[in-house]
This record gives sequence, C-alpha cells and structure tokens, in this order.
Amino acid sequence: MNAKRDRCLLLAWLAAVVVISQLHDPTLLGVLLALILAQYGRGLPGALKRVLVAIALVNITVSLGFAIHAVLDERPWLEFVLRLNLRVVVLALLTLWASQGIRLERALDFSPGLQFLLVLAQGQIRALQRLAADFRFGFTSRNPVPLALGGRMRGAGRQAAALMEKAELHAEALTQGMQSRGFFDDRD
Amino acid sequence: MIATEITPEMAMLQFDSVAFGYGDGGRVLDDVSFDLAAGERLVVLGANGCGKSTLLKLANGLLFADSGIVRYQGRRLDRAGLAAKDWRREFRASVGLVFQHPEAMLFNPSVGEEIAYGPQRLGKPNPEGLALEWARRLGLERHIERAPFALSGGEKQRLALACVLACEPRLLLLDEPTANLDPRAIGWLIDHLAGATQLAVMTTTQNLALAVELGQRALVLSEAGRILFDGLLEVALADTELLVEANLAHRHLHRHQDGTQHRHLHSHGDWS
Repeated sequence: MNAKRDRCLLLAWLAAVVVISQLHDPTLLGVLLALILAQYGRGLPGALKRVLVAIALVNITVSLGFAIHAVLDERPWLEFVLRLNLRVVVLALLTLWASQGIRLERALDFSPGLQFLLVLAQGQIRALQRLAADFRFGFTSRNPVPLALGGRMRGAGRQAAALMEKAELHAEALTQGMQSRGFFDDRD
Repeated sequence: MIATEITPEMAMLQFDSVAFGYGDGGRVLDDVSFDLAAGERLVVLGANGCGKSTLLKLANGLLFADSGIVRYQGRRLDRAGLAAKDWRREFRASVGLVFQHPEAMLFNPSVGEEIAYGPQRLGKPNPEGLALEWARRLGLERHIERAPFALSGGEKQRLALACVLACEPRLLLLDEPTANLDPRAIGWLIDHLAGATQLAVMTTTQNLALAVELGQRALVLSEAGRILFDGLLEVALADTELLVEANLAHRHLHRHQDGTQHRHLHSHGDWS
C-alpha cells in the first residue's frame, strides 16, 4: 500500500515536471510558485533557504550571462530571465517537497536494479553529508578568527579532495561487503 | 574447548606463512601461521593498524595473500579457488564477516529486506519470518521498515550482526564487533555466542575485558603484523611484557595528592 502511494506521488511529480517545463507564461509560473509556497506553511523559510542556496550560483551565472549577451545584441532579456528563474525555483521547491514526501526506494520497488542503485547512492550521500558537516564543524572549531576568502577556498578545496578520497574508500568497502554477503555470486 | 593440538584434518581455517601488503610498499601482515578448528573461539588482539581487519578479510576471501596460503576446509582461498562458482557459494554461505564499519555491508532498501537478503539467497524457507525473528532478537523490530542507512551507528552494527547470523554460518568473523554497541547489545552478543557452541568465531578487538568473554585462545599481533603469541588467552593477559610490546597496554605515571607517584599498567578495558 505504501509502495503504491509512493509510486503515485513519484508519477505525479514526474508529470508536474513535464507540465511545468511546458509553461512559458511568467504570470502562470508566478501563480504556481505562490501555490507551492503556500503549501509549505511554517516550513517555508527553511525550504526557501535550501532551494535558493542550491540554485543560486548556477541561476545567477546563467541569468547574468544571458542578460549581458542580450543587451549586447540589443534583444529583450527580462522576460526570459524571469521565466527561467521562476521555473527553476518552482521545480526545485516541488522536488524538495517530493524528496521529503516520497520514499523513493519504495516507489522504485518495481525495478530491483534501479532500487539497488538508489539505495547505494542514498547510503553514500548520507555518509558524505555527515562527513561534510563534520568538516564544517572542524573548520569552524579550528579557526576562531574567520579566515579570508582565499583561506576558506583552500580549506574547501582540501575538504573536497578528502570527500572524494572517502567516497572512493566507501565504494571499495561496500564492494567488499557485498562480495562477502554473496551479492556477486550469481553475476558472473 | 581449546584445540591445543590441531591437525590439518581438524582445521577449518588455516593460515600458512601468510604475508600481505596493500601495494604502498609496507607489509601489513608478515609470516602469519595459525589454524582454527571447527567450533573454536579465537580472539585476535593487536593495536591499531596491526592488520587485524586485513586478517579477517583474508579469511573471508576478500583479499588474497601475497605469499603463503590460506585454506578453508582444506581448499585454498585464492582467486583460482574462489573462481569455482559452487565452491564460492558454499564458502560464502558458511563464512560470515561482520565489518567494523557496518555501512559497508548494508545495501538493501529496508531493515527487513536487509536481514532477509542472506537467507533468501541461500534458499532458506520463510526468509521474511527469519528477518522478523532476528530483528526482534537484536531489538530492531520497530525499525523493520526503515532504510538501513538512516539508522544510528549502534543500530547499524546490530543490523550487520543480524544479517550475518540469520544465515547461520559455520565460521563467524567479527571485526571489532562491540565498537558501536551499547552494553545490552554486547551482553546479548556474548550470550548468543556462548549458546552457539558449534560456531567457530574469530574476533578482533583491542578491548581485553571483552576478549575474555569471546574466546579462550588468543592470537596477539605485533604492530608490524607478525604473530607475537598464539595460545591461551589467560596466559597472554598475564604477560605484561607481551601486552606492552603489542601496544595493548601502557604504563603511565600516577601522581597522588600526598605527593607520591608510581606507574600503573593500563589497557583498553580492565581484564584483571
């Protein structure tokens, strides 16, 4: 029963993504955004912060790039930029809602292969999220005086390298764990 | 029972002059030889980085010796040996490893499915029922629908134990099994192992207090991955110099309020 509900929600989310991708009227996208924001209720500030942090860098870069290019070509740009940003925010909020409300591994139980890949990815993401949070705490704890941008960038670079290495070690350990439990026995 | 005179015919697991390194130049294990009989309890003691986990992975056919031979029930545990599908299945069914970091062995969508995975593969009847039973035994029944990666460290450790025990292996390899367990779960594990008399168990630990509950025979590894001692655990624990050499105990200075001072021996856990 739960799996059925999760599958329905996943399908609804997929359908919504397709429909929103076909909407080009900024007013309509704005109305949709207002409706989605309203359904978040008291969780709105947190959700909005997460979404904006996730999309800000890419959206600002693309919007600025398009606007500069359009100004140089003497073409209109405002409507396009508005539409682009509204659509991305709507899709991101909808996806955040879906990720909180749908148990994806249940929704994908019709395909053991997909489900397995998802579970592996979720496990890795969770472990790396924890590690990244620890890095942030460690960095804050060891730098009582805030560092300049250059220092922060170097720290972030080293953390990214450590995360990559950890991900590789996790993958190796997981392969051994699966091997130990006979996962590969029927696969060669 | 302690198998003091183990003949090759009796040995379930044999390490014969095994050496292993990870390819970065250094040897992790060097000239390691020992036998383990069916039903025997062996505790592998050693400091951090001395090769305890590597030893278990070699015993589980996950890593292969650079030199020397590892045998399980007389058959070589090497790439060629494990290439035989039937033998490999039989081996995997009868030898279970609980990893020190249990995330490594959890890859199913829910706790119930995770435990049922092994019995299902082995064709045991009613794997779902077995999963429920093992979840109950290890206090995981209320998490049966949850995703394994969402559990706490201790819950994951208990789940990893349930996954392996549900397959009813003949040889159980436990890598620092109590690192994340709470006292109740440790008590359960000790009681369970005490009751499973047919099961051979090889446990790695630095915790000497726990060691006495998990076996009667000790294999003490040096920090260079060589065997310093193979024999009765109580003899190893009484040998202060051995424990200090293996970095399982240390002496440090105690200063008392009256100004006197002296050195005490300390270890991970108080076994005395």
